[in-house]
Amino acid sequence: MNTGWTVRILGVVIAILLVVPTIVICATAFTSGSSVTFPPDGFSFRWIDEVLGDRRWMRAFGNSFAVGLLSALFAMLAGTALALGAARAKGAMASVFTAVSVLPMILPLVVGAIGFYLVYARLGLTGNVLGLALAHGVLGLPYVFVNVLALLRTLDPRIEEAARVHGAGQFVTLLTVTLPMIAPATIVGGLLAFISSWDEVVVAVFLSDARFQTLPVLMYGQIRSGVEPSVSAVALIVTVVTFAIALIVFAIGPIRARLAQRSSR
Amino acid sequence: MSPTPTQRAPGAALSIRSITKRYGDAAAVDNVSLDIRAGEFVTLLGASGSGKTTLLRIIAGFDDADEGSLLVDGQELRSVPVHRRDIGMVFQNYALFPHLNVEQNVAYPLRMRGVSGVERRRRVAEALEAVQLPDFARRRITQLSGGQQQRVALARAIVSRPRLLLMDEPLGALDRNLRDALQLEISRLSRELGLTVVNVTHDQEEALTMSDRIALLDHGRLVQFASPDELYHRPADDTAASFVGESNLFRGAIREDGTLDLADGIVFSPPLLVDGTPVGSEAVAVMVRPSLVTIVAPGRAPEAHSRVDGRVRGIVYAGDSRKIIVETASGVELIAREDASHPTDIAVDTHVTLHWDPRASIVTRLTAALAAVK
Repeated sequence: MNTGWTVRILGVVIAILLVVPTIVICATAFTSGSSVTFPPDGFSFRWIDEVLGDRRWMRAFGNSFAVGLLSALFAMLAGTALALGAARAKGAMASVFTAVSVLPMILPLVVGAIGFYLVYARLGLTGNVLGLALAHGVLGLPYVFVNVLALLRTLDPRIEEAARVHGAGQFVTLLTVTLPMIAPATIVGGLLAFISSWDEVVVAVFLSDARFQTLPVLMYGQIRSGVEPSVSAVALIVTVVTFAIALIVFAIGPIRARLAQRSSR
Repeated sequence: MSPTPTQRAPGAALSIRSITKRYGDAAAVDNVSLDIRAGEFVTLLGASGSGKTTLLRIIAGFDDADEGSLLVDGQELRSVPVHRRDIGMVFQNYALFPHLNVEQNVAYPLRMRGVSGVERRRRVAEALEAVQLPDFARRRITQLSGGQQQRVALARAIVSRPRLLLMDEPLGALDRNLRDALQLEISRLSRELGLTVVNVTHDQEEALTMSDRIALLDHGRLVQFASPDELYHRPADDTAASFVGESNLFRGAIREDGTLDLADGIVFSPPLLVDGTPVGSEAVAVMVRPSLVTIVAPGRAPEAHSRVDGRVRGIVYAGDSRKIIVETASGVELIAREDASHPTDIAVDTHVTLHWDPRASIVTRLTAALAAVK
């Protein structure tokens, strides 16, 4: 009982520390005044309208979205391939696959960002969607890898053997049985990779220039030249998108279960 | 090979020749040879570690043998990749594709063989009909009971009319009643379709019920390959005798007077081994089935009968029969089985004599490995 209360109070305190700043910044987006204050000065959609009508913000929004989608795709491809490798390889090879895949999580972000910058600058991969998407794909890869590997470990190897014995070669087995079975994990990993790209600022700062900026980079630039309620409005939009995707991630399990039930009538 | 609808595609003959598979120093399958006729239902029977599953996986192509050859209708199979072997297979835990519905699961082997459209739908419907699940086509796999899942797995295994049907403990995960029903159904189906079946089980009852012939394996070696009847009545050695059916086994050398060298009583040995050769001076195993043994009070056994004294350790009712467990002075456990409708008047802990007509006994060799150890 006693420890129960301690844990609960601790939980509430942490939740407040995490959530309150987000609520505060989101609330200030609705101010009708022209400075960021809490509680907000009146209520209006003025700043949200302004952001939605601003070409600079909208272009950054588009860039972030494109980079997020593309990086999620890269992460899904590479993460799934590496997870399959780690699950199937024997001995030291399996550890190599795992080490490579988890490295982006462990490596200090600044070090990685400088590395990306030095290499990508030579390849012409700075200041465009492709370069940043590749870099973010590497950062998002561990989310896919961990999810897919966990699912692969629970799969019965005899299901793939059943496919092979009934006429599917290795590659056809991969396409028709293995990939469809791990698809939920791949998609969840991809969504998490999207979220991680969506608010990533360190690598994005290095790989952006005056003409190519993502939302977090532009926000960072704006804050340095003085906080305007438009930044709060952008923060609100970024948060809403992140929450929407997180909701999808949580919903994927139950939706699949319900679909399974409905299709059987 | 594309069989027309009316023509049966009978299974192939499978010849297993001197197959050996080693893991390190130990042979999981040790020089096993079996000639399986087309359309025959053969069970690989053995305890865990007997090599039965390894042998099945070699036939399927999941593992390769170190030595020997596998001939299907005279063609070497070992060089053929798994997916081109034209095999149907049923797994113990079903191994159905969870992301596909029943119909799609059953259609999978046809899809892989390029059968499409009307022909595919017709054959899927036929296979589902054959396993008595005609109305389940649209169901999800997760919505089926264990027995239904195994029927779907069976439909998937036979839908392409494969040359060989392999079954890896197909009924192991099911409860007793379902097992009995599916045993009969699998036997019926495989005979109707003329399939060559290689079934793996550790359950001797299942093997005796379903098989045309049984290959009994022990520690990777083939002990005996024979019909259920022959395996039961003429076991090749004491391993076969103890594994198939209940038995009382007395191991020892035969004395001048034709009795076994035994402390617990007098056991007459028949003069000829099950393979027809005379009993020599080597140690042998004399076997009598529990149902042929009679229980009487001590000293009441007929002079001409084999007889062993002991104490009743337990009485177990098993439906129509009653199993009486008797322990001899030297600690050997023996079993007598009697009709439950004519029970002998005995109780636990009473001293009794077990006796039987010497003609009810058979005598077999001891397993080579065992004899060497002793």
